[in-house]
Amino acid sequence: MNPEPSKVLQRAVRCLLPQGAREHVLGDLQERFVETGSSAGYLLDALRTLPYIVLGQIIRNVDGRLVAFEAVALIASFALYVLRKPAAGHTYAPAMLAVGVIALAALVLGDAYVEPRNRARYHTLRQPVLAYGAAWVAGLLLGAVIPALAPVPGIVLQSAASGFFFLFMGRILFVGLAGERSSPSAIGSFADVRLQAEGLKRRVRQRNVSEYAGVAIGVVASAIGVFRAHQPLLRAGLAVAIPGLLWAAYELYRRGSSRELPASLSETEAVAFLRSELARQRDALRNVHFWYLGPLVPAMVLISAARIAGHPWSWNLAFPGGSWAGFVFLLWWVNRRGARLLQRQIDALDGWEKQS
Amino acid sequence: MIRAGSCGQFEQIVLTAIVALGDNAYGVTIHNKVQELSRPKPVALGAVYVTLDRMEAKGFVSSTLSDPTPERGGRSKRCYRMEKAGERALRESAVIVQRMWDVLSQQLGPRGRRWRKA
Repeated sequence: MNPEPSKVLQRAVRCLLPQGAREHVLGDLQERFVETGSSAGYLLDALRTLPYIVLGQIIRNVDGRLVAFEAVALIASFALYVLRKPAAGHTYAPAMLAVGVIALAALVLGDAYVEPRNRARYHTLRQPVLAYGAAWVAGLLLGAVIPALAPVPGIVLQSAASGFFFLFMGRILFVGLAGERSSPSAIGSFADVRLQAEGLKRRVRQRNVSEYAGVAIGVVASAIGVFRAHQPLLRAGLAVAIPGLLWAAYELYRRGSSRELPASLSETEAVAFLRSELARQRDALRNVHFWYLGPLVPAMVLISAARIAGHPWSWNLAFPGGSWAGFVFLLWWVNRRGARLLQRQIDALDGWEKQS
Repeated sequence: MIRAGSCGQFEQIVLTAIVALGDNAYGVTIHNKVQELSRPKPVALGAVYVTLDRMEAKGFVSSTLSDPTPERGGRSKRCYRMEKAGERALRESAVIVQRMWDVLSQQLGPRGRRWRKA
């Protein structure tokens, strides 16, 4: 039996390594450990290699264009804060730049550590949380070292709302564009058809579960808001949101629920099943404005109107309305692109069937 | 995003190591071969990994995970193979090195004695 470093040491090194490099790098380190037999050597080897591994994973998993966009988004979120409080802009600009760099580094590392194909749906949401979390901690440390910079963590939190919005929307947009450029999975055999059917079912189920969870949270939050809000217009908007959300969830169940490929089907029947499933999901995405976004628009209009009503006009008031409109447009656009991708998968399936 | 183009000196050495190792080209063996080729200069294992990742992004090499083996604690190897783009880049680099060598041989003699003295 070959000597092995202690399990604790192996686990510690495993935690430090990015997901995409764990398997082969741990194996390589183990092979080198067999030659030396020294635990200290193993740890030193791992620590010396780690920065290179992280750099390699950044090369593999991080897109420079997305990083550039995220840098602009972070600057924009801080700039919006400065627009509201211009004095703070001059005083804390260098400190905000420093925490912005930390936030960007957190975004890059967050992407480098998770392989693109293994990213969960919540990765898009997790990244802004990670970035602003890192920026906030950096702000706290700065404030502890230089007391004059104590307000920096507060500024980070106040600019986080717009930053979250920019980063989240940007990522959705970017993933949509990247998906459009990628070619559909090749079908070479009947086994690939089964694999595609299983993959589709899994993706659809994951999407629907997160959508239902989102609807449940939205309904509860709106119901609480109806009783607690003071403005009648806002209460009306939240009240209208509840049936809108429930309707969207019902339509999602009716049009876009996942279906399992029955094991008893013949090859021809299985291909027909996959095609019909792809077409059903494509149609659901294509008409998303009608059954998903449409029912939510009245609530969005009322909530935005409540924000604007009773205030003298300023550009700050344009933000909520503009955000909603941008968000709705982005969702519509991403779903249309998703529908086009599914159509390409259908075309690939038809092409394979003709050939075989 | 990295664009494919010419390859640097270290990339040439790593590509040469992959060619020399054939089917047995993975992290540890590539590192050993690279050390052999670039001696007496020491080479860090991590430098080999990052170069492999960069060359994979350029399309010079491709990689696959092998079956797990007991001597590696039940873990797989990431085996590398040179791709057409890598072969082209390596050949271009080799031609340039050959030309350099021809000029140096002309100027300093075929055995490069004057060069060595300098």
